[in-house]
Amino acid sequence: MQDRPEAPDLLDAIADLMIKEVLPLVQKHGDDALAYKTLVSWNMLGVVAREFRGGEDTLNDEIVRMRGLAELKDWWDTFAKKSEGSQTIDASYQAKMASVRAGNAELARQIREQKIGPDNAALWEHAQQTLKEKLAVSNPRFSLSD
Amino acid sequence: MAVDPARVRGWEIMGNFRWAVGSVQQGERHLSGADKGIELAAIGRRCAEMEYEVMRLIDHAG
Repeated sequence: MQDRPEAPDLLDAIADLMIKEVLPLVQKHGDDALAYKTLVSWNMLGVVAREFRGGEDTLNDEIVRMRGLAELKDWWDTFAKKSEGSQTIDASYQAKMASVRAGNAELARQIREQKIGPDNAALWEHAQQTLKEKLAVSNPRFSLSD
Repeated sequence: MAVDPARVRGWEIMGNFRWAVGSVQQGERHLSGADKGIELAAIGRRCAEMEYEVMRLIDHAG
């Protein structure tokens, strides 16, 4: 465990520097393309900081939801034998990412093979919830309202 | 000429879907090393916006 300030605090500090000091200087210089890329970079630092802060909790939520999907029941059982516990929330962050990626690939396969139809409410809800969680990190200003 | 709202909705869904695929491709372009620029990396993370929009439009299509 590292000392404070923690990683997201460091990212916040860099983001602050970029928006308050670097960007005005670049704009004064008249380089519009670089000003744009500076803004994009500033925005990405926010994405990384939010992912650091909440990423593991939402990843755990996603795993719990995926484990409840009837379409993945048999798949999880086989996967669990092969991957020795990487599908539990005690696994490492990377192992959990790999599990979710593999689970999503399996769902995509079933959709392609039309084993999952468009009327699957549980899966629809899971996909929508997962997107909400992604958007809270990648673009929290994105409107989720109907 | 009358505008058919259902057709408009259909093309809105298509437009979002198309741009969602585009954002994945741009993210892949960054990951492949073909263009390591920061813009493509950022666009790769925007796919969820169009995916969400597609689902919202379908939900409201009735």
